[in-house]
Amino acid sequence: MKHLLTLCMVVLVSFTMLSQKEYDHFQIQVDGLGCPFCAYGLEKKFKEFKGLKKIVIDIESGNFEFDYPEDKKLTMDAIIDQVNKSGYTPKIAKITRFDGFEETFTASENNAAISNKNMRTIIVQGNCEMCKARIEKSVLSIAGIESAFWNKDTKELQFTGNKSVSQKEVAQQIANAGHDNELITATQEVYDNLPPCCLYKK
Amino acid sequence: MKKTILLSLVTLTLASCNQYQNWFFEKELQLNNVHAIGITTVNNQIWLSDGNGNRLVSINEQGELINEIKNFERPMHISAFEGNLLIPEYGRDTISILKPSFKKTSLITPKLDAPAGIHQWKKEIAIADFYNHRILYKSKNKWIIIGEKGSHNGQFNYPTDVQITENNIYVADAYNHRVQVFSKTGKHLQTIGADFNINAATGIYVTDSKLYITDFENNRVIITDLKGKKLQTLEENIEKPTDILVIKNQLWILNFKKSSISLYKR
Repeated sequence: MKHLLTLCMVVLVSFTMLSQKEYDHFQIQVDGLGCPFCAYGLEKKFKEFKGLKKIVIDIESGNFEFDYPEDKKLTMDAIIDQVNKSGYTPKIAKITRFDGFEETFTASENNAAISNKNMRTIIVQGNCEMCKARIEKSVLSIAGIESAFWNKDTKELQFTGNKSVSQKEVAQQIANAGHDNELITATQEVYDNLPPCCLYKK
Repeated sequence: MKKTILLSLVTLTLASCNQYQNWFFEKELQLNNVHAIGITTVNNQIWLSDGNGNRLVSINEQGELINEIKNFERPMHISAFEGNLLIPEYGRDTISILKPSFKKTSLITPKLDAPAGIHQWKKEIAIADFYNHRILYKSKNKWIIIGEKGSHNGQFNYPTDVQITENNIYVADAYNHRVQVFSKTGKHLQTIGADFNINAATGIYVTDSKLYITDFENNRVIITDLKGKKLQTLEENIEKPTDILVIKNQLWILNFKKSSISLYKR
């Protein structure tokens, strides 16, 4: 009888231990997140990862947090890819694995001040803070570009950097990100993939 | 001579009756961390959907919280009918019905992808089906689909709100930055606001003679007559508005970002 009880206890403890899942914690800061329809849309996109728990979105700060089972081994690349694929711009991301190990991602920084020296401008279509984040990020990703600032009201993008980077190259990069500009028009397919609030008037 | 004066007086009186009365900012009610997307009234109680908080809250006329009901997933533009609250759950792809007893049931609908708005008028129901870029309209137990993705008349780019009136269906065609009007057979009748430079027409409210539109990114509310003629633009103390409603001669405007409600009076 005693043996049977002990066996039952061992089976129960083992079962409980097996069924207790460990979770990794994910924190992502998305640049320019401002409208609820897009923010909740981002949450919906992440629900494609089955098993997401404890989802918190702070629209004001752009912070998006959730837990995910560690055995699914969700990587930083997959997270950043999902954010980009959904049309959003990741700024910072941190994964705290269940065992305390941390991984971080930081997007390239925009130079704080833009000088008039060698400054060039281009008119770029867009609507909101998310557009701003995407346009500036696309320009900053070009080797030789030092700074890029887009004004939501005037639609003017000012950028500085190596003169060997042509205006057309910059325009093409912006169009690839989904934004029409004075030199190049974005394809319909890329435009259609922008989040709702970024759909500027064509 | 007498007759002429009398006629002039009658004409003047009739003209003044038809004259639009402007709204003026009265006060702002601060909400306690309620980022409201939709507003409606049930049995004289004001209800708000708190999208960030995944809950519905009822407030009094001072903006103080009276009641809250949790466990919704991103409730959006709510509506009320015969004491029931109709709640589109954007995160759950369902429409919930909250009975006066607070018992929750679900409305059977075609498959939805992020419902953002619902309205019931008599036995007719309309749903703004956000990611499917369409309006679902039910009448006589049959659902019809209105619209598809696009920017031409009769097409939508992420509709967020809908209202049925006696003869028509009004749609906040949010990211085409306009309002569209349809017959109850789904025929496009009218487009309003395409030339108003709206940046995200997120919420609408229609009365017998006026249309109210929230212009989310531009922090404005635009008021037109039902032919689409602009009557007034409200901008004072409005920030990221998502919905509007007239309650007892006051215009209630939800400021999503500020977690507040701006009240306008005449």
